[in-house]
Amino acid sequence: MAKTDFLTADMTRRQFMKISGKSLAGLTLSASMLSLFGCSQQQVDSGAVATWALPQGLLVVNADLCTGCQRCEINCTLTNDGVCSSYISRVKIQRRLNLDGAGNGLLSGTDNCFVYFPDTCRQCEDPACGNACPQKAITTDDRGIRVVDTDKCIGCGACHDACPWHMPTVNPETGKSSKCIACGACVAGCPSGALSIVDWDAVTSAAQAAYLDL
Amino acid sequence: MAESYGWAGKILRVNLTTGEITTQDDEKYHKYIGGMGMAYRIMYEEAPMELDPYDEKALVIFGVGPLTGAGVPCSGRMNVTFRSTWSKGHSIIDAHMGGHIGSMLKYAGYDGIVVSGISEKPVYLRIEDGNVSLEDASEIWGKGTFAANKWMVEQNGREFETASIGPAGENLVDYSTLNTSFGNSGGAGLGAAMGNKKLKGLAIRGTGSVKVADPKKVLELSNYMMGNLIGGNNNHNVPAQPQSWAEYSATSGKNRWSGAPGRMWKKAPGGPVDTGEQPYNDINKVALRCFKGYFDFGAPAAEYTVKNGGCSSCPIRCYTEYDVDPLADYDLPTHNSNTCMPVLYGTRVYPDGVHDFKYEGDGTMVINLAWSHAVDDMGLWDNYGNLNRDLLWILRMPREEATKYISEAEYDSLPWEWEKAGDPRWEVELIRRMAYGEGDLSVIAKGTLAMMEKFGLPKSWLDRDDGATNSNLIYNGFPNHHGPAEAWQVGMLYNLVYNRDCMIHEIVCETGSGAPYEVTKKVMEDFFGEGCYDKAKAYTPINENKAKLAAYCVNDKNFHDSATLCNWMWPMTQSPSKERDYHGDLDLQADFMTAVTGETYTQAGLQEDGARITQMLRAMTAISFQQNCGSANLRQEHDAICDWVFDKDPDFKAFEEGTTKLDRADMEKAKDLFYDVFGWDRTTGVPTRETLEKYDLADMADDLEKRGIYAQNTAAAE
Amino acid sequence: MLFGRRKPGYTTTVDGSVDPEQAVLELQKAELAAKKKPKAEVFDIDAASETARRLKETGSTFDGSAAKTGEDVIAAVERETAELAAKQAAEAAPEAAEAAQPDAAKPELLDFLAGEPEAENDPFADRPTKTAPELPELTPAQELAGYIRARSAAALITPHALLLEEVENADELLAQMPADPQCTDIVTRAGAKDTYYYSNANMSDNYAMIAQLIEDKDLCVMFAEMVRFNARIYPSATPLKYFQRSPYGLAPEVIEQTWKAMQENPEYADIEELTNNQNERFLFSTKHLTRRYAKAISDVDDFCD
Repeated sequence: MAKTDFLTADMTRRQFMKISGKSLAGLTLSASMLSLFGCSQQQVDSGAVATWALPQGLLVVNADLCTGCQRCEINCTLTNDGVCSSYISRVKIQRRLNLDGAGNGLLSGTDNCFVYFPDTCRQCEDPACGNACPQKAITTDDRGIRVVDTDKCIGCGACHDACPWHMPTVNPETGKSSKCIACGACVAGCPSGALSIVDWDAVTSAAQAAYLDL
Repeated sequence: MAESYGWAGKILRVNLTTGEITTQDDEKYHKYIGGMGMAYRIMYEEAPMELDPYDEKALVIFGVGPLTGAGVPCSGRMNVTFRSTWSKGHSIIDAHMGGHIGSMLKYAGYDGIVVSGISEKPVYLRIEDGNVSLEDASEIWGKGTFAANKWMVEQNGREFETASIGPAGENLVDYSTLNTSFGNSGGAGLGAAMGNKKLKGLAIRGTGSVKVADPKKVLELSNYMMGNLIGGNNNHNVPAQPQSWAEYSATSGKNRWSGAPGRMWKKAPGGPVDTGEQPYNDINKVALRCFKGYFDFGAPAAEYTVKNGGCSSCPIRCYTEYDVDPLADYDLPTHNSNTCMPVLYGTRVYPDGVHDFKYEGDGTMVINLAWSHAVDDMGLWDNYGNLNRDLLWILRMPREEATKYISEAEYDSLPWEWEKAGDPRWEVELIRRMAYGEGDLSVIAKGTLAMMEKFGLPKSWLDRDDGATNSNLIYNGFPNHHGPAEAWQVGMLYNLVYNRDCMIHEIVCETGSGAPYEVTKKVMEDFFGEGCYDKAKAYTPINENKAKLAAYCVNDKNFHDSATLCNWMWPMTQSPSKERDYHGDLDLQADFMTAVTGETYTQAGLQEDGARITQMLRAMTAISFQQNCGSANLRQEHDAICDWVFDKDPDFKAFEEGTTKLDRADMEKAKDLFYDVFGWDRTTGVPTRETLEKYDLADMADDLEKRGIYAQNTAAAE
Repeated sequence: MLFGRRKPGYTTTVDGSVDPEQAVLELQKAELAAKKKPKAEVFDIDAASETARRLKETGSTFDGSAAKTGEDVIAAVERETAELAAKQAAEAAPEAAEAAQPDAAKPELLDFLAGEPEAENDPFADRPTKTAPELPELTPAQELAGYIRARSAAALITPHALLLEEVENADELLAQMPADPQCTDIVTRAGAKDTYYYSNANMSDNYAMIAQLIEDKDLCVMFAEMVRFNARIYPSATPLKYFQRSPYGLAPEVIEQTWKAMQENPEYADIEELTNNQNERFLFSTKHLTRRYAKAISDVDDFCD
């Protein structure tokens, strides 16, 4: 690697964009990066850690820290919908507590399993939700976030069906789809730090430090 | 149905005899808040105390409230009201459970479920928003709760939250529960109340929402609470070990703010997670504060802990989720999650003690986790430890003495070699026998009073000063719950009110915290008046402020089980914040009620609302006692206190430094003051007509009058 | 912004009558101005308390040498923290340490990222990446205060001798602090052998007392002071195991030796031992507690939840 690849916050963010939404399993992290993400290499190796490159920082999800309290869903819906709900939350934990569809969740085995963690929109480069929308209602807003234009949305659910992770959810009360707009409410209110956002300056500094060590 | 905030606006009514399922607008119950309060009103109006608890018309009422599922921290509770089959008077009683199912019921659009009738065949209640049906449960009837919950989720989908009764409930064992697979349970005989109706469980999915009048305010108040007021579990306001930001810590090293540097979740899949320091104003570390396993078992807990868990909406994760691998050697499940009684009392049934399994000092923990999984699977309740205490009482006897109570054949059929070896299969076998009602011994799971009757034990058996086998404060079949040992006369008084253990934590949250006495005293006296807060084991005679505080605790708890809020955390009496001089904010629960419902609530008003529920409880208790005990004189029949409370610690006099014993005359005076606060007749402890009318319960006063209960008061006074 | 993340060191609480959103913003502004925690952005990782935890556990060898060369002290503490965390992780879990070694089969994150093709359709391409605001220039005294503050956030008090080692004109700078409104949180505590500095915004006074007693390295005095403090303030007897726990971390043998030495010294005649009903041993001070009451409050009653 070259120091110049991580010279500014913007450059660092673009680098992390390449693996946005993916587990870091299979990669080795420097000590300073581990410290910054608040995780261990063992957690990385076990697939517990995934990152999302957002404008305001790098979202780090640490599955080992998630205690299933649903406060991410609460903060999401109170902030974005003005109501409290689980189903329409843009970050999903309740539906993953019992069975997450990937072999985890309380009831996934013959004995209880305590592996469960939240999942959210990956802000895909090539968004299946947006491509599938017959109304072209999922667009990129002036903040660079893919959002649902509720004037256009007809609540058909094509976005939900098309998304490989079924993240967009049609609100049965409004008939409109809702998807993550990277507002950060879930992270700010996460009481265990299972969700955190590391600002790009810090990631850039850690990358620079790692470069110096090499 | 009128649009309303907080409340879903309707309740479900399910008749298991006819299969009829309807909904009802519930606005008329809003003055009873919800949950417990709403259920008490419905029970009074529709299922009189004359009914046998197992009558077809008897009700089981699941209730949540305006704050459940509304995003308020520590609001993931569900109250279930039914009739006791095992405590004196067979009166009205509640089970209380946490988890995720209460908020899910709200998201499905209901404030409660009123279940009546008896089904012909085993069924479970499936709720998916407006689609509600009774489904065949014959596949899971007879199965443990873990298998039953898993089956219901697999049948219906992963977004369903489920709860199930186990064999104990199906077999009408009085000590029985309703359970989720995370270990959340409602006890008090709820399993049998549902088993009698052939109702195996609930499966609920809600895609709706709880409408909130001022969502921004709810978020603000939540952040204010989490950044300024909340402590550890039981709202303990200092950490268990010194932390650099904190002035104080619990010298004993033991309180429920038990996360600390070096205390780790060692079985986390990605390696040890250190719970570290958790500064009081760091919202993103609140969930690391309580490490309940460490509080319960010390260092061995860390070896087996995967992570913390708990209920929907709550940042204080008071459940510990364990992988206790030594249990695999006994073909027992190793992953279990719980808090509270199921993990605390298993060792009681090993009179010869337990041994270490894998780490130094882990014996208690391994045995208790095996107990926890087995009772949860069987859906067996322990009546706050009376099951274990009563079992210990007989199990520790020599054979010739024990066989006076159970047959020699039964005694010899017990796998004693497992008891002697400290083998976890011993307790599992005992639990199985209890849950299936096998043998004379299983009368213990029908209740302490049933056991005393069967074994011919006199009333004075409850007067014994032996904490290991007797914790009953009164003669009604249930034990001490944070009574005088932690809360002087106040604790004794609030233990008098219910028809099960009181489940009141308003005082133990302070006395168990470990903060300096003078610091907490100032908080308590500023809120509740001079002289209300005694020093540990240095009690003072009763005074009016103590009686008022005891009544406050009862009313506050009733509000919590109606709203619903968790009484282990609420109200926010203390704070970890030095800047606040460690004062919490008692008004916060009213502020949340206002923000959620859009109607104006005050803390004083909530006390009135809680008191209305207390009065309903007391009036219905009087009716039950008249029916089932021949007298509605509650002072004599319900509120009489066992001798050991006054006679323990023979080397100490009451009020001397060093004892928690109480004084008989002082306690009678305490009852007078307590009854005065509530407006109960001093002679009989029954709410007066004036009192009931004040709480808009004139119909109950008329009823008591008609039943001759007031005439009985007059006669007793003379 | 509704989700004001509260940091250790905030000394202001949210007044119920004030708009919390505004209050949090005010707090953040105040914090930035005081440079107590330079990274006051709402979504920052709380490096300070992570630092505190890790340094405390590992018995830091952090010598602050970075401060001399002008490196940001917080960055230095963070770097040291990362190194210590890695070292600690290596000690705690050898298998993890192995995994942490650069591994030919397992690419390093940054190398991997640099080698991957650019992401197409970057949804945020037009949006400037958020960066922290520029901070004002600091005076040398403020720099030194920042160093003390960072150590306090890491649960360390700072001996005067260490400051003299670090900065030639330390005394001159320390003398300037009381008059500087940005340094009012820097306070001192006199120990037996030195004076100790800490930020009372980042460390409690009672914890500073404990940290000072630990730094003074006179175990008998430390035991006596803490046993008396606990008996007077809570009041409670002090379990011998208390000194095994964080932040003392003493071995049981050391605790036994210390208590034995104290029993031979008349200065500690008020310190006595008792055993509770669970066979656990405690110390208490007869200046503040009677034996009868100390025993009673040390006994553990039948535990219920």
